[in-house]
Amino acid sequence: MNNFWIKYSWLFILLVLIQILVLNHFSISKYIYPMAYLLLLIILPVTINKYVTLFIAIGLGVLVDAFSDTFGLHTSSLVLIVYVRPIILNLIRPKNGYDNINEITIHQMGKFWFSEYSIILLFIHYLWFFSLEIFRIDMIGTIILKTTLSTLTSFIIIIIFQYLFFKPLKQ
Amino acid sequence: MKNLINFLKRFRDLLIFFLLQVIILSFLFKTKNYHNAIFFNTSNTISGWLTEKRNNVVKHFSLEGENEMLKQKNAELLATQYFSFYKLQNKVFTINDSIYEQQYSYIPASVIKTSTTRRDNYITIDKGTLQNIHEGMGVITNEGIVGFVIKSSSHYSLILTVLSEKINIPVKFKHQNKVRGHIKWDGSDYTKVQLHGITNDINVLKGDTIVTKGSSGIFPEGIPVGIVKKASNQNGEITLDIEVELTTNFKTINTVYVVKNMFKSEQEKLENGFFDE
Repeated sequence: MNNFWIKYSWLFILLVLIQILVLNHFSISKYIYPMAYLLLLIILPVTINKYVTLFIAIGLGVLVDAFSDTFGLHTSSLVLIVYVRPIILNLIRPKNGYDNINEITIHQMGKFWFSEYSIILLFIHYLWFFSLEIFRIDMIGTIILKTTLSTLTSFIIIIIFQYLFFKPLKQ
Repeated sequence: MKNLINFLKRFRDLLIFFLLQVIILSFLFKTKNYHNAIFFNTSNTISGWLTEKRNNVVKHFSLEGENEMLKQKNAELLATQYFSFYKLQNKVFTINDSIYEQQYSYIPASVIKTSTTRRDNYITIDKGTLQNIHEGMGVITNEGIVGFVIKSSSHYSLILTVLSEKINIPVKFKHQNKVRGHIKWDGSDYTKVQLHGITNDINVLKGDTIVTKGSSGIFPEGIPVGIVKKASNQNGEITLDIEVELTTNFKTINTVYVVKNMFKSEQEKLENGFFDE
């Protein structure tokens, strides 16, 4: 477990730097806002104390908000993710539960389960984020389009990070 | 009492969630409504510093375009100098003009962060209160208007651009002084804004230039805003739908000028005193 937190700290610094120095300035389309830092909440262990998660989420959110002039949008969405993550984990519980699983990675959980789990979380995060940012009922089409395209982009980035930073299981 | 404690225990997570959301969202909506940033942002010392470091690396990619623009502006200014004029009369005289008094001065600054894809777009510049930049000052470029300062720290300032939901800038037509309206961004395309408040009895042509009205003292009068791209009247409404192409390109924006109005306090004092009584 100790090993996990050392790796997590490195990943935290790396992902926050990538987010604020590279991805925040990514302006190819107004529909795509990639957020790689969400990986940090996705990979947290299943059994983690929820107040620890909340603490990480708020720290991360304030940090990203401070560098992207979003005045609390990221923090608010991350707090939502902290609240819904246990619910989602319960809903898509694998057949034999989470008993012998110490970290959530694509290698441990399988491609299908991991994709399902991260796409649901990303979609909720983005939907909340863009709804609050635009905050108009008549722009619902734009909100959905932005949410879908950004979810797909971030999902691809997160999968790439999974293969880059987490070793496959030894058979 | 026991029931209440049980209830609180059961919904503890939900209550914490709602409480936190209320706190965070109150920051967000205060910023949205009052043009006043109170959450951490890139005008803070640390985030401004890192953003500037990033810009120091990235800025070299746009140097060529920036040089080209400066050359052009230089040529324009050169053409207005006295040696560029042919003397029609031989009499040499100077006029010490006392009918003009300087009202606006400009503080140059570099953009260290810009955005065009959000609903409200902000840019950060590398000058702050130490260079006498304060909240509420207007910001322009050589090409046109940018927005106004909403927060400044000692070394950095945050500017809300016209690409924002809650910003209304009073404008007029360059060649029809009496025709006035205001511009607002609908959030779809960062090169276009919408012009509101022009009634349908006015003849609006494609290609007309829109300039600032200059009544509030934030921008000088006659700073270019954009060019009319499309004017149409839908369902016999009393006002026209006009699309204006901005002259400022927010994606490649690099050097801006912060407008300092020397009569600002005088104007404010007069107006406030009048409306208070």
